[in-house]
Amino acid sequence: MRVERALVTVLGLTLAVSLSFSAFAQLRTDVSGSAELRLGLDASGTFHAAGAHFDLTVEGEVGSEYFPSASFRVQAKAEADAATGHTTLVLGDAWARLYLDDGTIEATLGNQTVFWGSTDGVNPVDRLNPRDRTVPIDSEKLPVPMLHLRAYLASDTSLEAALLPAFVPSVPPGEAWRTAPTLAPPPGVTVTEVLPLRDERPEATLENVQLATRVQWRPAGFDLAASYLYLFRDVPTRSAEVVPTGAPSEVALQPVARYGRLHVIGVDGSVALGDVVLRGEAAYGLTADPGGTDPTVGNPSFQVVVGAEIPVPDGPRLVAQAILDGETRDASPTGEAGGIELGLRTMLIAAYAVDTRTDLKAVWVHDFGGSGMLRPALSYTFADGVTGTLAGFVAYGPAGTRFGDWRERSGATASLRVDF
Amino acid sequence: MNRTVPPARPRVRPLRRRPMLATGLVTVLALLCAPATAQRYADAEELMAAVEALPEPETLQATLQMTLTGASGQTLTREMRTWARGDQMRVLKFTAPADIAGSGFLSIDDGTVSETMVYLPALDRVRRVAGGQRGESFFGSDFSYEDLGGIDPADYRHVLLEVRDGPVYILEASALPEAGSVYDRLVLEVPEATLIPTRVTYYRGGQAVKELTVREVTEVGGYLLPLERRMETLERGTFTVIRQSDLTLDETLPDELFSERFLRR
Repeated sequence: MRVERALVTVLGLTLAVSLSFSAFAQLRTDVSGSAELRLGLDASGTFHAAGAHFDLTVEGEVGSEYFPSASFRVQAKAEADAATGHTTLVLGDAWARLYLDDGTIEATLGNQTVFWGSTDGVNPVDRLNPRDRTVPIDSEKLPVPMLHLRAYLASDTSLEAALLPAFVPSVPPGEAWRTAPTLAPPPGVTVTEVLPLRDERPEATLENVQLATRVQWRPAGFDLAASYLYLFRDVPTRSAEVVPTGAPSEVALQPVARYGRLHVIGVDGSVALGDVVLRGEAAYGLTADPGGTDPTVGNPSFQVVVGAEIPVPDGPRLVAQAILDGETRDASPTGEAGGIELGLRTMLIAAYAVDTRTDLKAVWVHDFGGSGMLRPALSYTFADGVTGTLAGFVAYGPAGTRFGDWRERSGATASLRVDF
Repeated sequence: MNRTVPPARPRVRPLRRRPMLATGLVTVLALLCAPATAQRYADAEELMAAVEALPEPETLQATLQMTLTGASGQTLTREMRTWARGDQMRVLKFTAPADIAGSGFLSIDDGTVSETMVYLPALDRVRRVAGGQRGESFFGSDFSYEDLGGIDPADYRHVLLEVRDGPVYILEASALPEAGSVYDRLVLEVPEATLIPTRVTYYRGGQAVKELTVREVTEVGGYLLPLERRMETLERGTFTVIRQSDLTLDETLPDELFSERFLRR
């Protein structure tokens, strides 16, 4: 229903914008899309992907040659995968945009994706859109209903603001990627039943509106941005409530998923120093449980990413990053502070164009907790808009570590994509 | 020398103009009064001064078709639209094929500000490109970012190697260390009639690595412009041809065109 409402809203806006401007300006439209076939096999001999994806996008604009008065985009995505049994038809981008004050203000309403941040792959401040974590290593961003404003205050300064009227959580990892939840019963009782998950996602009310703003300064040679977001956690805090069954010493467990409020303060930027571009990004997320005393509420956390992009003459383009995660631990039952749990990862990305048709890319992430993953990919352009890709995924490390639980998911995927 | 796409650097002269009348007179005088190899310019300094002195259009808009040919002979095609103001500012946006359509490239170098940014629509992200990436391939083609930026005469020390029939000047340009070029030296063939280099061989590590061939030098709006440029990577045997059409010269372009805002649009 939410998708249908958004579609109707955006199509209505699009129609209104088109009618408003068609009297004195030419409407230019474009239709594009892509189709992709995928086949993936993992280390256990299981096909983890065997499907097809198709998307179709209609976009257009009215106004002058350089800066339009208004524009729109509507995208539909269809996917069918025999390996997972999933068949979906979803609305992708579906928005209308008005350009005001000679284009210095852009107001975009509808289902949309907004990117904030500077670093590669891991972006602590890029929190506006939830993600599809069905395959966690891909985690594609999901467009959501939003009003997004961007104002160019000066040639080197822009201000953005976003209002999200309805909360949409991230899609949880697919079954193959999940680790079994641990629901510890109270001592001295027997759990006779685990009830279906109670998902307490915030309703679309005025008090549950999500807001965010960002100011970016981009003078010559470097850029710097500061962001503030007032959101809900896109990944729920899971807990279990004890439900008496009526029988002595026997209880049922009620798993609950709660999405607590989150204040995120972030900074990011990049600077070109000769041959190297340095990038950095950091964010701190404050929850309603700063001391970690309430297990039903998420704890404060932070993430810092620093990296460098280094072009190797006649060689690959390298990106090296260090990622530091920190989260307040739950307090002890006596109320004693649990301190901060830290995690450090490194990420190395190498991209190399072998020739005009062949590209190599490899991503290696190593977690200092003793695990990691490697993702090499080879893509070949058969013809204009026709690309084949062979990608691998290798996870290593003991069970219980960040990537160790994904060892069984190691495998390879072949795909063929046609853009039109 | 890249004359059809105005380069990032302010001192480069991507588009050269010489008055038609003057060109005609020079040609007639050359035919009537001089032997085939008679030359107007005695040395490299004189020649480069003449090249530098040529006027150029204030602005340029053009549609570019870029054809990439692999060693096997198979081709890929990219189409783009470009807007440029002098040598200082240039925006380039891909219109085809579909998988890269919308990608854009902004280059600004006005003597005090020098930066290059790339816009990738799939990520809706504008990225700063480092100076060292000037040597990288431009969207998979045989042209690098530096090649597209053109040749700044101030970055090279010039020596006249020989003068061939035409006359055609054979010029060696050795890169100055402070220029930061990815090439050691260039060898240019410059016909006196147009002063537009028709062939440039790029050397690195003492080896010829690329060769630029300029074709179809045509008068457009009072300017002599090469409509086709072919860059070959010699070791691989691959080449890229950039052909320009729909040229509009000297039309006022708004400042906002050379901004992140237009890149994202």
